[in-house]
Amino acid sequence: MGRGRYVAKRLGFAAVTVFVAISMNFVLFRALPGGAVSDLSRVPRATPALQRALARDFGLDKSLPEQYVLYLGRLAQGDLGVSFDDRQPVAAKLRTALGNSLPMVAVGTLLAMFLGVLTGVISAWRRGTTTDYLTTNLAIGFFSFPAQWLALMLLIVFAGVLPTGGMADGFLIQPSLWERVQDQAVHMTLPALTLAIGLYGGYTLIVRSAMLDTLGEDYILTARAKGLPARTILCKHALRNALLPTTTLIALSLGHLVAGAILVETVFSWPGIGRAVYESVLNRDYPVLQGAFLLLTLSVVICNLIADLIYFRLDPRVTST
Amino acid sequence: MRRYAVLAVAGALVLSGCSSSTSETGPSNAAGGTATSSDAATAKAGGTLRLGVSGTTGSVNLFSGLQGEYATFTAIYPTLVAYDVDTQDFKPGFADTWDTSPDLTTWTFHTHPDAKWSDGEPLSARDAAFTLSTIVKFQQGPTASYAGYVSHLKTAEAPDDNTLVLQYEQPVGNALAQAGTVQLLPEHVWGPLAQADGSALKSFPNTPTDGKPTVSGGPFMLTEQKTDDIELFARNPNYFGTKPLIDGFGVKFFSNDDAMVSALKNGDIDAIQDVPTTAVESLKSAGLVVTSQPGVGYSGLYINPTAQKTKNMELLDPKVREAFERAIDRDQVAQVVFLGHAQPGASVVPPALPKWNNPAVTPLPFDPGMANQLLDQAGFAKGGDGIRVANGHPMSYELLIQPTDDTEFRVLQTQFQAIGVKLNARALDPKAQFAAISANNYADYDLALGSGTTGGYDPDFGLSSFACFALGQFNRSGYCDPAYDKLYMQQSTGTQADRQPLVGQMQQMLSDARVPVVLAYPEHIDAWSKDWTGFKQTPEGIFSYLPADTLTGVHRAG
Repeated sequence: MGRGRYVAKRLGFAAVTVFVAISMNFVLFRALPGGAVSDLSRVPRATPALQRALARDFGLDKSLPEQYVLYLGRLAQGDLGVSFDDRQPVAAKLRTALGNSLPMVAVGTLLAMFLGVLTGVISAWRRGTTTDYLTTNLAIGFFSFPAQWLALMLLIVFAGVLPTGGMADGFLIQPSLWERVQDQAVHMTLPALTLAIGLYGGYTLIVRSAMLDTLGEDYILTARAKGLPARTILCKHALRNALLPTTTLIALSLGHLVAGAILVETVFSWPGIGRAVYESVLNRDYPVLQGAFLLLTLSVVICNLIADLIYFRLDPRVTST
Repeated sequence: MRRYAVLAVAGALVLSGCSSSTSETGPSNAAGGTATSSDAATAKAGGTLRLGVSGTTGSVNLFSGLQGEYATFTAIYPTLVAYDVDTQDFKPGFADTWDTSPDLTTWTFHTHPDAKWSDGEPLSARDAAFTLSTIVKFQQGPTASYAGYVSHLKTAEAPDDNTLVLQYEQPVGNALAQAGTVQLLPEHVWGPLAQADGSALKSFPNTPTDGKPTVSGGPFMLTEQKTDDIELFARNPNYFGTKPLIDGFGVKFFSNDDAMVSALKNGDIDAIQDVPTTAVESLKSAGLVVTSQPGVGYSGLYINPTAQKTKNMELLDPKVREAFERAIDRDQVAQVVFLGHAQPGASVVPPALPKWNNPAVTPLPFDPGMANQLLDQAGFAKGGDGIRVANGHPMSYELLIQPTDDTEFRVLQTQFQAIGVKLNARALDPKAQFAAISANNYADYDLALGSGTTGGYDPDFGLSSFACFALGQFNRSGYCDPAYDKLYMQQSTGTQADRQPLVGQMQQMLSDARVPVVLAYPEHIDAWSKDWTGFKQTPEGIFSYLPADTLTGVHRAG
């Protein structure tokens, strides 16, 4: 298969995936029991008129197929609609939330990547030793912790030492750049660490497994027989060849950067896209949910596409499959 | 260097000439008086209070409809009348005095003269007339979220700057609790939005923009709102009432109670409202002031009362319903579920509202022996597994709960086990629980756990949630009795003295129908640092939608 056909095929798959996801986003949230305007017990002195007015405003008085067509029409024009909660444009809300999420999630993910790759390589190289045993079990343990439990444990342990809620001290004014960076770094520590610990286990196990596969190859034996230094064998021969599955994992992780971390953001009251999703699920704010999941879909699809294209570069065998 | 944002905004406003010439702590009108501004407090004036609350930011537009920032509205907008927390009675707000025609169809308010909005524009009775007329005009559409406050209101007119006349279609006895507590909007800001179909009324963000606070007429101005994060308020220098002692306050929104409690202990915030009962002792140990007071909410067990039920029909049998109530040990619920921070319940109008609570509504005593006897008499004998059999099927029921109700469910499950009835929990989020209760015209559900509230000092809204017209909207039981609805309509047209017996009768009807079996009245718990004092608690907290000047007297302690 030629390069052009390969790329075209991947792009085609990506487009179909996005369209299916767009449709699923529409159906899934409406399948949740309870609608946006079905329970008005939180509105003081609500009246029957309010329910009718809201249903009309939100277009929920129309049939589902009609709503779907309207949704697709708006989307085609780049309009994500307005939030049911505050009637403000979804695009602006998501932009702000994404801007809040990205730094924290990026720090957590990069930290996990760095530590995960490092310990994965060490563990594979020292297979069967105490180091390997400890690293693997620790990774499995971290991988198994539910994110919200880990977050709560860190919150309890570090209460009084590190901030436990929000992304900055909202009462600071005109802080210097250094004060701002310092404040945000301190606020970011616990959520980013929670995220990093959760992801770290997965990275370690995948890298270890990929490295073990590679280290068992004949060319590694040859390299050893040639008397090459361990560092050279590890970095030049083994790690580079073990990068394929790692690339997939990293691409997937990067895609999920956009989703933020719903549980972590909720525990630490982080005003990012994950918390926006959580609040929108509770309120059945369909436009925000649709917008957020569209963003998530696009980021995952694009990152996967990039991974596919990188595969193409990394492994020439891809073209023949 | 750490400084506080609201200080800067307040300072900027003073410098820009927005401040009024009146003294900040002196008597400014009949509404506020000087009760809270003692010399000692004045000496400790200033500073910014940092408040933590559960939940998230919402719209600061009154008419957005779903998740409005009702406490924010109350902080930044004036109301005709306010609540006196101590007497639970009305006191002057923007209206210094008011009177009504003998037939209760005309209410006249005499508003405070020479008042101003935060931007310096005059605040007069015309703004009040505009707000109420606009709500009436668009009540079937854009302003529907406030339609309940203007029931039967025909016109709202201001014959002069200081007089507001409300003309009702029929006698209305609770005009003060309704139109009187509507947040009044500046006509010069909202007037242009109330044109054509009024749709602009809903889409207006009403958030501070370009460094300018939202135009306010209440004790505070909203200076900043960050979604899902924080809101900042500065003292309104033009406020016509007693001005707050603090320069301003900020509200930090937490999506996790543990994080909020931890932030208070760390000193990251100064006060929190709605303290989880599990945190009370640890906050006290940490040297914080923790205060509780009877709330206006209740926790209840709903036994489906609807005749259209299609299964488990024995639940409609009054003897079974009575047996269920007798099986419940309310003291245990209060002690175990609420860790003692609740009183055993009886009526949907708690005793925290002595003017409205019907003391004759008393719970049936905890008596599992009698409960067993009632079920035996009904012919529902116990099977081999200890579970009774009714009409050929085991008395095993699904109890719809919310995830936070798990402990309450477990306590009830054990108590019901003693009478041979098995409860199985189905945990759902609030919207999904309501959908499950109201599914198939309320015919499907058996039992549900839920909390309710009177909705403030007046029980009108709380009682309306059991009316037929609330079915499918905020009626969480399925109860619908035309006789109850008739009483509800009747009570809305009388004076307080006329209403009291009717409200009492309605409570008795609900209690007799066991809609719901009121289990407990949870206390409302707030906590703050010893560095601060002067808070006024309402049954809904120190930052609530109830207009009650809760933060006006707050100042630094010591």
